[in-house]
Amino acid sequence: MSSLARYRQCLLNTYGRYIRLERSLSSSAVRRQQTVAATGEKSPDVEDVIIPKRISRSPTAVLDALASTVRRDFYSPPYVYIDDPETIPECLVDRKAYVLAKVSGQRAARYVMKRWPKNFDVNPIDPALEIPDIFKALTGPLAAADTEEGLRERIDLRLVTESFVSYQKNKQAGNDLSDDVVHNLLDLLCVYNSKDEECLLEEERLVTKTAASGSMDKIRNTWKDSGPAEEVFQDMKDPTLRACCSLIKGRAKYYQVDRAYELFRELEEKGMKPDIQTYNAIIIARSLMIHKAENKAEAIKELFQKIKGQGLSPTVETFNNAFVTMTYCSMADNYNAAVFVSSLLSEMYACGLEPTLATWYYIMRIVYRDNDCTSYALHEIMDHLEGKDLEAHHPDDLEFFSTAMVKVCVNLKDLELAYRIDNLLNYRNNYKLIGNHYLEGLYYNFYFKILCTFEQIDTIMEHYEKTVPYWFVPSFNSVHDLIEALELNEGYQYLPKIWTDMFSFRYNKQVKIMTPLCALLAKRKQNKSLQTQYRELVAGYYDIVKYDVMSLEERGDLDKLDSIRTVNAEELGYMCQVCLNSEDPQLARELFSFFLNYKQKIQGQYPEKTLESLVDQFIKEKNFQMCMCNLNDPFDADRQEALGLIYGLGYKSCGSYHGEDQITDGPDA
Amino acid sequence: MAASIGSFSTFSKWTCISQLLGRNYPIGYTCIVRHCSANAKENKKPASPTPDEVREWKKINWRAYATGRVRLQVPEDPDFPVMLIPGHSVLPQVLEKREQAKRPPMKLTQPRYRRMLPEQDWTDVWPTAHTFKWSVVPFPVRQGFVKPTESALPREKYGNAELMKIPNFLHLTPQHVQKHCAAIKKFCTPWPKALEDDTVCDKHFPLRVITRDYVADGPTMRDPRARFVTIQLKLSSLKLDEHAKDKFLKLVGDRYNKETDVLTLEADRCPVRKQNYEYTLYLLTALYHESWKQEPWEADQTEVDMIKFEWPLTTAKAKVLDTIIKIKQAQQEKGSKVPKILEDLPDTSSPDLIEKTEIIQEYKEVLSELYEHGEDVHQLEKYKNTTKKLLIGL
Repeated sequence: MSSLARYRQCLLNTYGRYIRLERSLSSSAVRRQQTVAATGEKSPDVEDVIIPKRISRSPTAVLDALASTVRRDFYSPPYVYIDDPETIPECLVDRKAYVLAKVSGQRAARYVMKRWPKNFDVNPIDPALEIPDIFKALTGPLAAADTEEGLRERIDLRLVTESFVSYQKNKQAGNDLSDDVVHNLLDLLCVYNSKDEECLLEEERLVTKTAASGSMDKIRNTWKDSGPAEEVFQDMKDPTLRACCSLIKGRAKYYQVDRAYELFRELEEKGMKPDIQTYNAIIIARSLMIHKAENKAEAIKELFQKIKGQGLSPTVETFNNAFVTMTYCSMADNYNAAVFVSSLLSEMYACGLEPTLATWYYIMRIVYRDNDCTSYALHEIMDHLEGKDLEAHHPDDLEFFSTAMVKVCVNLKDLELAYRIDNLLNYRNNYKLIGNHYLEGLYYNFYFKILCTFEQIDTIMEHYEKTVPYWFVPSFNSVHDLIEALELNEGYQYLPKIWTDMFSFRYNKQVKIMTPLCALLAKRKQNKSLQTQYRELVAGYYDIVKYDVMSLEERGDLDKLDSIRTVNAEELGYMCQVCLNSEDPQLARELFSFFLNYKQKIQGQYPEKTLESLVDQFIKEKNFQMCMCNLNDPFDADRQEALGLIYGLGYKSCGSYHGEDQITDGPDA
Repeated sequence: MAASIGSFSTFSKWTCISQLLGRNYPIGYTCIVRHCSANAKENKKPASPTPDEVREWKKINWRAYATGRVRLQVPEDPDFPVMLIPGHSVLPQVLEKREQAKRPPMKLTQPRYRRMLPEQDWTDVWPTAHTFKWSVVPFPVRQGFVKPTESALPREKYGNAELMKIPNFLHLTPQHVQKHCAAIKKFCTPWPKALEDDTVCDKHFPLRVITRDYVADGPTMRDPRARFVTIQLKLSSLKLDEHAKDKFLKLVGDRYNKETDVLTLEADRCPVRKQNYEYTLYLLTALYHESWKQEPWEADQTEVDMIKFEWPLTTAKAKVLDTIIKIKQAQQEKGSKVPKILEDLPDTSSPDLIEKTEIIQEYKEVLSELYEHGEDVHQLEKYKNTTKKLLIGL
């Protein structure tokens, strides 16, 4: 989502309802002329009136200025969703489904345009958009394929395979193609590796996982060795420098490193001067051919010397590519890589180039490769970046924040630094650099991890309220951390909130979440209002469980109770305990009899403490029937022993044990 | 009743039964009843089913019936018990309701306004114009029609379409405006110090040009109304003599506001704003120069053409002078009595001299006032007194 586009849209909405902007034309020349015409003579005061010069501004400057007043609201859902409780997706699966559904609608619209282009030959956009010509791109090229014009049009529309087909048809027809067109075609084929790649739509990128260029699994030779690009290159009688450079860049991009370097050497031998982009590509290609960090460093130094020798000046990309290749070093070689990287960074400053976020990302990967490394590099990076408006230049820039947070949490364990990173992220419009949903999730998961480890519960919950659930749905592990923090800090007042959230995130069938949550609810007796809330939660949960189990039973699928996890004995026990704490023996009894009904099917151990409390309760009520139920059940032998004691004690205290008959009749008789 | 039915023909009998049962059962049902009762009562072969009946018959979900999911509902009529043949008789299908555990109601997420902090910045929550969102607005608000007979309150905000229809200004609170002003302040220049006073502004910059820009959300950014140009000017700022002003006003017609002394010219005939602006300026120039010109035919204008009361052009002037001269002559000839006031009149031969006398001037003023301000009791009284004074010397 481009936030500028979004804000423009917002502002158009704001001022779109025909707000009249009245203004007087401030052309002072016209006025003066009129004044003279009107009064016939100059007023003596007219010299004192100094009209200031108009401050020149772009046509959208006012809109941009107004857009800058719009800040991110943590308590509102992201712009992709419709802002209504019924439509905001709350769990991870729903979020993805929502975005993909939206995208599929857009794809359907594109399909319709492609299928029936005649219905869309009128472009209602006024003034027409210059680039890209959306309508043309959707409805296809107009000129015939076997003409130069047709080829040119296909190249402009980035139709890779169609362009090549058109090229072949031109060749068959014996047309003479101009050099420019052939070079453009070669560029296109090299950039896209001679195949059509379906472009992801903007919103689709939010939910699609993309590998950063630092990851090794992306490096695979996918270059088509005898593909259209090579064919076009072979057809050139005398390949020019531009063609050679295009091919080198193409080969290097798709990791056909040997042949890329081979062609590069040929060029050098001929004494031709490749451009800086070709050198950038060759840096990657050359260093992928070498394995040891020291040798890599040597090769890169050599290439930098060559760049200098050609009279070219390196760009940020040159350095970034050098950094990327150093991240490919093996773990054992990492120290050497780190040493070279630091010298490379100082070289970069010496060249007057400012490192981008991607540079810092590569450096972090190298420096903090070992999880035990506690270098102060990240502190220095943050010193450098703090209070800056950041911009994205490269897809890897988006990896910065999530990686930084992971390193803070795993390596440095520095809460202060985590806050600094978070402040930088929320400074002005830097938030758009967070990346897609995966990176955002990664960032927040680790942020919460470090918060839960070091921070007070009130502060944790403050951050939780801010980001959950609209910006971040906590992962399984995050929730676990949070529950641990709640237990440690005794944040009982937050339990109702967390509990309801778990249901909206659909974590209510996760044993590892629900069991500790239930245990926490039952841990001790709370004050009256809180305890009443707890009881409500438990009652609601019991309704759901009852419905699930009974509908299974109806279908005769009760055996599946294990596989479709609904509840376990521990949870039931804790729930029962909560009811007892809330002084609601009715519900406690119901929960207990529910457990007794299905105990063959429900897994887990009923907690002892609850059994004891239940016995106490039943004795108090003189409900001996239930008490016997409790005891007669095949629990563990030890437990029976223990309970027998309580049983005896209870009876003694009640003093109303008169025999077997009375027990079976129960107190109601 | 059953006996009486027996005498009907087969068709009318079963139609009658359907009516008796008080419901229109599907044809399939009628068919079954016919089969059953024909067998049971009349003890003869039933009439073969009609094609409609066969079609309905086929629609019945026999499998559901066989597995017991469908229970047949038998209409209860004590006079006419329907015989059911298990596996054959089919009556309107009703899905059997088994006792089920009640599904707990889906709980919706809390609306956003419940999570908002009291000290939050409203400009962040509602940054731009938007239709009313019930889940975001934190205050209670109601709108809707209530019948006068009902004492209920209008509907509250949840899902209230009335609130969505009307425009709201939740995006233009004073805080918003303050923020926006601060953001666009950098494009503003200071106001010239010499022009603090409005009168000075009017003096130096008498011409006011009004144009309007329209911003809308749509495929086109052009708005046909943006071409309109209006210019405004105080007439007093133009240099005009009496004749020119008179002609100017006649030319501009109702574009001149007499009370505020403002002339308004509006143009929308050209497709582009610039053209319209230039056209209005041309119009103003043309008007100005045209009104200074004196055409020969302008001498022909009469009292009716005049905007203001013009004493020299009125018939009243001629008539009054004529009457006075006649009175004077009569006095001289016959020595009759004339009003005292006319006794001192100068020589009758020169009307100009007569005109300058006090009484005629007074008469002229009163008459002009009468014309200018319209008739009322006070004016008429004055007019009457002056006339009486003039004619009979009272």
